[in-house]
Amino acid sequence: MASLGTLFGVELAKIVRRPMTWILVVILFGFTVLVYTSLILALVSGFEGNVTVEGAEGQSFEDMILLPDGFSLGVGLAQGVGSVLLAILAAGTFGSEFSWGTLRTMLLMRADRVRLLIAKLLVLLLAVVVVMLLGAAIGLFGSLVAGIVVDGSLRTDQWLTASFFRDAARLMLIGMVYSTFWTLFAAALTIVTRSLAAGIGVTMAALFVGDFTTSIIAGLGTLGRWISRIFPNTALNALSTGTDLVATDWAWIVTNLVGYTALMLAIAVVRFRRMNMISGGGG
Amino acid sequence: MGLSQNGPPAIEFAGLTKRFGTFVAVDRLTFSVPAGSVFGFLGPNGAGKTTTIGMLLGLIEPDEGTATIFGHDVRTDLPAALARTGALVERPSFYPYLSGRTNLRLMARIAGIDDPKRIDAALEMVDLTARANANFGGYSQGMKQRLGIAAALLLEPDLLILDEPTNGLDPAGQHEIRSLIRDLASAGRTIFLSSHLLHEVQEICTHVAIIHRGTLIASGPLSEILAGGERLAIRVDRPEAAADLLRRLPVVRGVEEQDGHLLVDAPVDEAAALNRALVEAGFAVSALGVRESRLEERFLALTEARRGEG
Repeated sequence: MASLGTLFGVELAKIVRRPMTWILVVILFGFTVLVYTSLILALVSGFEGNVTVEGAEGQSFEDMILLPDGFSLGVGLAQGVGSVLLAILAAGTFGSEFSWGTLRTMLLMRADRVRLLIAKLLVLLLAVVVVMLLGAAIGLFGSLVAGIVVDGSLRTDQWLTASFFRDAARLMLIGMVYSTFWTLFAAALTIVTRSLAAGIGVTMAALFVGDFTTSIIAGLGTLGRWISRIFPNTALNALSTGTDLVATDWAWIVTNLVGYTALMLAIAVVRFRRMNMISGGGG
Repeated sequence: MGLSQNGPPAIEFAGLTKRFGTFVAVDRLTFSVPAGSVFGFLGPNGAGKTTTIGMLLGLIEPDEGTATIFGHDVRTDLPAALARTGALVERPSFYPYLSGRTNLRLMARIAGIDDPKRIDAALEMVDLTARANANFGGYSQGMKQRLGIAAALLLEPDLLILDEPTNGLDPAGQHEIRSLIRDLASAGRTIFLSSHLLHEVQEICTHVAIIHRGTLIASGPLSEILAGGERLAIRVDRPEAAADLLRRLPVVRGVEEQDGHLLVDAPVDEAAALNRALVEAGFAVSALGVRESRLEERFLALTEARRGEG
């Protein structure tokens, strides 16, 4: 029976060779580069007097793209756009295999179901790390270019510090938690429904409509705030945006996310282990 | 090819049952497949063949009963059960964006096969070497089917399970796959072949089992299933009047007219007596012979009898 390492290698080879993966990478890379390029061009135009961004507003605009804060833009894009693309990748990883029937072929090659599932999830986790590193790299490079364009310097005094790297690591870690959650959500949902469309569609709804709905609920007084805390969106958003989180905040954020993650993993494992791998319609 | 008398049967089903809600897809299936046989698993579409194979290979969980492969229970010891088994179930399923060879390479890694020569040998065996580097998505149905068999052969199995292997193939493709199955069987492998193409099964199988609506209605050596089904074929002038005469004879169970012959359901050793009766009544008998039973006729007789009971 194939080891977890072997299955991980096979899954990695498949995802790397799959055209869909590279389409998603190009979308993420292209979008992030486009955002930085647009902002840099806007800054350049502004200095030539074509854009009236001045005073505090102008300074805030500069801060958004220059280091040290400019770095968080890249990580933020990787977290936001990347999560959507990773959810598509996760749903595709399972949904396509269901429709192609390839899971059946792998099982006939004596692959263990649970190991196969874990290998797939580990590869998706690796994809989350890669997306975050890509976002960080574009963020750093884009902000450096912006610094050179704006004031002709790399502004090393602003970011070559221990606190910058500490903050960068924290941002990336939060981004990974956020993206991992939605990736796992899409994967679990696709396993339960055996449908690529359902996996992507419901995840997008939970991500966007969920954010919107929980913010409305949270606005309905104390009870609303408590109810909104039941949803993972509130915990993820608090984690992403919260700067003054106290111990009790951390307690419910961790409980919420660990609880949902454990639940999704349990559902995925139970469903996958007992899943009928014959599509039906045969004799 | 010879049947092995030693050791457990290649496959054994005992009370195997699967329900989907209230629908019973497979109902207390019990029969065994002798090692070394070419076993035809027959049934109309929707009879439960693929579900049975799915349970045998651990792809579907049975509700009741057991299935064993070479004595290993698939529910409790699936790895050991599959250790000597290669299978092609439903349809050949591979990654469309990868070549046939890369697909096999990935499957070989999963199966723990390190020797690249095994991949070449499997491709060679199914005559796919020339197109091995083309993407699976661009393969014809026949090529896909052959790649599926190549993947099963990678494991160098003692038992090969093929679910409708000629499905969707043109006559030339069907002939190719049948030849391949014969070659594989002659190397001493047990072949378990599900099909609804009865002439195909009669051509290559030594044993058969027939299921209908999830229930076993016959199983055993092909010769036994066909035994007793022979009929006398008589060519005679005025066939309608001759048929009337024959029907009145006590040894005749039935008469049917087909292709200019009267097919008479009667003991074969009564042929001379029937001939005499016809000649004495003034009929001109121009031919009289024994028509071998065809699996199709036996299958229809068995399934229709069961339908009548239902």
